[in-house]
Parts: sequence; C-alpha cells; structure tokens
Amino acid sequence: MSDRPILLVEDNPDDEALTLRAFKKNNISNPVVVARDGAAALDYLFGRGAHQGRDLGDHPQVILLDLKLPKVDGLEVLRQIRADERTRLLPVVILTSSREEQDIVEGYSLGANSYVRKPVNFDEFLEAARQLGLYWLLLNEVPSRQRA
Amino acid sequence: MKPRAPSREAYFRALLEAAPDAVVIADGDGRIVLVNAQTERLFGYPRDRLVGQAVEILVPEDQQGHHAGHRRAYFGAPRVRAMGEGMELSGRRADGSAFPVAISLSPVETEEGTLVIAAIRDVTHARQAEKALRDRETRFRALLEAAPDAIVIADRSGRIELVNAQAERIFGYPRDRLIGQPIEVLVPERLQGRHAGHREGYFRQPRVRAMGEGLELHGRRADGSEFPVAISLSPVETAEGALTIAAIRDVTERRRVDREVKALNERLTRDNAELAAVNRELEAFSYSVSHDLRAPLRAIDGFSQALLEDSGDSLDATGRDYLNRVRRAAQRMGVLIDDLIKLSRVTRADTYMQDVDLSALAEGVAQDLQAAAPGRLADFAIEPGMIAHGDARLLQIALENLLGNAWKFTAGRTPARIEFGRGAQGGAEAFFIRDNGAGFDMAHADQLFRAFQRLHDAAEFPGTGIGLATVQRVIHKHGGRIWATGEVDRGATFFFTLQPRTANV
Repeated sequence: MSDRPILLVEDNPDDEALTLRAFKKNNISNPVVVARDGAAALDYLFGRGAHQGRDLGDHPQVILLDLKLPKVDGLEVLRQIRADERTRLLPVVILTSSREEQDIVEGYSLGANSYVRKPVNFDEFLEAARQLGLYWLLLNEVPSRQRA
Repeated sequence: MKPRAPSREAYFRALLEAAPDAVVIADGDGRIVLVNAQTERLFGYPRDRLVGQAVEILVPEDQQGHHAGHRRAYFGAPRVRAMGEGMELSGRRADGSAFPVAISLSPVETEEGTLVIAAIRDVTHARQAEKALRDRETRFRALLEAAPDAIVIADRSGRIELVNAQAERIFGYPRDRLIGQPIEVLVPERLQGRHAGHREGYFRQPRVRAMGEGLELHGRRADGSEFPVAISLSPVETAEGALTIAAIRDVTERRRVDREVKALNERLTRDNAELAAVNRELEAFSYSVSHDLRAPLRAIDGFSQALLEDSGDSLDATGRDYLNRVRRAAQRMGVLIDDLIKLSRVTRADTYMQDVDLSALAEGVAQDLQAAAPGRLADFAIEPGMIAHGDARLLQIALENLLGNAWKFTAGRTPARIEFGRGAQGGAEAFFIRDNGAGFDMAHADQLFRAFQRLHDAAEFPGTGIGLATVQRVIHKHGGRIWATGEVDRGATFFFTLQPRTANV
C-alpha cells in the first residue's frame, strides 16, 4: 500500500472524525491531511498560504472532496485541480451527502474520478471507506511522480 | 319604261307589315278594323279571327270591363299617347296567357269617322330586366341594412349620400339628419380639420383601405361623445362621380377585450415568475434537506456505534440497547429523508414521454428483488409486451415501489405469487399488480396513497409510508389514476391507468 497522504476536504468535524475512524477500522494507515474549506485545500495542493514551500512532488494518493464547503465550494476546487498542470491527474473522489442528479453530472463533467454518497448508517459508511481504500490506495495505479 | 309607282295603299301596307310593333287599328266602337303580321305573331291569332272583333279580345279577361270604359273615355277626348305613359298594361294571347305590353295610341280622322292606331310592344324582357334590377336593389338595401358595420357613402365633396341602420344606431342620428351633411359630423371636433385634409388626399389617390390599417381612429356620436372605431374605405366610380364607401365598426368592446387579454397575460407572466421562484425555493430546500439534515444523523449513528465499540463493556445491557435504539432511530430518519427527497424529485421531474416497455421494466425489478433475497420462493407472472406511453424513469420508480410492495407484503407466503398484467376495468384499460400477500382492510383504502400513512405494523413490514404516495404522483403526472382492492390476508391488487380518462358525454 502506498504511503502517500490522503487529502480529506471536509468542513464538518463530525464527518471528519467518523471518516478518520472508518479509515482506522479498515487499517488504512496513510497520513491524512484535512482541509476544512475549499481555499485551504487549494493552498495545500498548490503550496500557498499555510503550505508555502511544501514539496509539490509529494502529491496525495487520492483527494476525498466534499461539495458543500465554506469559502470555495467543492466543484470549484475540482475545477482548479483539473485546470492546473501539476494537479490535473490526481484522483478525486467526491464524498458528499448530496445525491442530486445535477451535482453528480457536474462532478463527473468536471473530471471527478468517482462519486460516493456518505451513508447515514455507520456500518455502510465503514464499508464505503473500506472499498475506497481498497480501490484508490491499493488497486489504482497513478503516474509515479507528477511534474512539480 | 318606268315601273308603275306603287299605290299609297301598297306603301301603307308594306310599312304596316314591316313595323316591329303589333299595330291594331280600331274604330269608335272598339271594333278591330285592321291588324298587321306582328299582331298575328304576338297574340297568336290569324288576322281573320281578329278583324271585326272588339279590341277587348286582346285584353286579359279580368281587365276587359275597365278597358271598355277607358276606351270610351279616350274617344271622348282622343290624343296621341306615347308608349310608356301610365300604368302597366297586359295583353292576352289566343291561348289565354297574359303578357306585359307597352302601348302607344294615335287617333286618326277618316271618312268613316275617328279611328285609333294602337302600336303594341311586348315588354316581357324589359319588365324582367327591370324586375331583376329592382331585386338587386332590394337585395343591396337589405344587405346594407343588415351589415354588422355602419356603412356611410360619401361623395367627392365629403357629403353623405347614404347611411344604413347600423350607422344611425352607433352614431345616434336618424338618417335624415345625416344625408347631405359633411362626413366630418361623424368625426370628433378636435380632428375635423385634419380629417377634411385626409379626405382630399384620399380622393386624389383612392384605394381600398382595409380595416385596422394605420392609426387609432375615433367616431363622434350625436351627443358629442367619442368612441374608438375601425374603418375600411373603398372607392366606387358611378355615373354621378367618385364615391367612397366607408364601413365603420365600433371597437369599444374589442379594445376592452384586448385590454383584458393584455392584463390577463401580464398576470399569467407574473404568476409564472412567482411559480418559478417557488420552484427554485423548493429546489434549494430539498437540496438543503438532502445534504444538511443527513450530516447530523450520520454523526448520531456513527458516534453511537463508536461508543458501543469502544466503551460497550462499561455499559450494561440496557445501556447498549438504548444506544442501538438511537442508531435505529437515526437510520430510520435517514431513510425517511431519502424517501421524501425521492417524492419531491418525482414532483419536480420534467417528463420525457415515449413508448416504454413496462413488461421489460417489471422483469428487471423482479430480478433485482429476487437477487436481493435468493432464499425466497416467489412466482412472478408478468404479461409480456405491455407497452405504455410515459416517462421511463418515473415509470421505473412506480414499478419499483409497486412490485417492491407486493414483494414485501408476500414475505410470509410460500410460494409468493406476484402478477403484473392489464385488463379492462370500468370501461378503461388498466394495468394491475396483484399479490397473495397480507392485503389490507378496504375500510382504510383511502389512506393508502397518503404520505406517511401506513396500514401495517412497522415491525412486521418496515417502510416509511412514502412509496405509494410517490407512485400516485407518478401516475397523476401521466394523467392517469391509481386505486386498489384488497382483503386482509388475501392479497391486494393495485390498478393504474396512464391516460387521462376519456370524457363521457
């Protein structure tokens, strides 16, 4: 299993705690970087603000992106990720409460790799986390080192 | 040798016989002395049957008495009377038939006393032509008077020559107060000067001008009040000079209706905008519900689970039971929210109507149900080839709910039997889904389709009570109807149509 970090973009501290617990329960040991709004996520990805000087070659294995976010919303974050040469190949999984058709369609048309709805039932949530980890951390191959 | 000159008698004879009119000469007693060939032809008698007879033989029987009197009066003061003077006269043929004639009379003094020369002309054709002309005139008058528009005919100088009854009515003048007046009496005073100018211009370049062309026009009634009019103009050339026929329509009512239509349209536009705003709000609301209400539920369920796992040992059985109840309640609310969202999605959905294979949709649903519970023994009987016109996505939702219900309520049956077919129901073709499951009490049939209404114990048959409400919305969106029959423990049958019921007159 890759030990590259997972970028979790999530503004709800409860969902953050549950997601981290689900990873732990599924023995997913990758470091998790949490961004609590869209702007913070972009700062991390592009080495700005609090993340000034970060080695951009050390890109996350997968980005778990909520849609409803303060400051910059999830779809805008996705748009900027796909627009930038340095990040456009990163796997992005939309992980959100919404199952509105228009969010799903827009998410995919902006280049999301996957769209997962957060279930209410924690057992189902655990299962979703397990499958996400299995697929994106274990099975999925990404280019070994993207251009910084 | 010079030819012998014909006698005066011969000249006279030739002249008489060549005359285009019938010529009858009678004496003072009214006896016929002489007739010409035209008389024989016209009246149908050989001349020997006429000469010596009273002239009344040539007069219709019902006028013979009068005629004898007229004749005697004439001989009392004989004079030349030209054709066409006086009354309508009739002749009588040998066969008794009458025909209109014109007669000129000339007295001649002879040795035998006063004779009268009557020249008689058959005027049948002239009379017919006159009658036809009169008839046309009558029809024209009738048409003019019956016309729904006021009609005013004016001459070149703008004098009114003729008006119809409608013109009297809408302008409030009797016609004798209009004939001969300048047309401007019908125009509001403030516009009269301009109107005279327009009229001059029109006569210089007359053309047919249809109603509604050009500006807003106004008429003026006898009492001085104004009203909106539409006017069409047509020039006519007559022997007496150029005339203009104006057809004038009072458009007060039409203007009022136009204003009303405009007002209604504006209101409709406003209502539509409001409706669109309400829809947008509803959209935002259900988005917020689906997103924001679920997050706290996830926290309640997730942390209860975490507590059970991490600290379950320090709780007694009752404590663990409470936490499990908290989880179940949160999960149930999650399902409720999801179902509500589905219901509102059906309501908001745009429909795309096409031919849909209901049988194929139902087969798919049945397979999914069976796959989710491979242990259950169920017998699906789905009539093949049922095609309906509708929205495939919505019909899929309806069938998932209806077949899902049948599946759920036959849980205790071995084998469960679920049927999907179509047949005549109350004169219309309806689809039906029948099962041999738990059924329901018909006394509560009216509650079946209400959201959150449940007829069964949630422990035995879990559900949110939104499925059938959703189905009903789908069916209503297609203009159809849905109803059900059932009996407790003997199964239920749901019927639905997808077409508006044809109106029975």
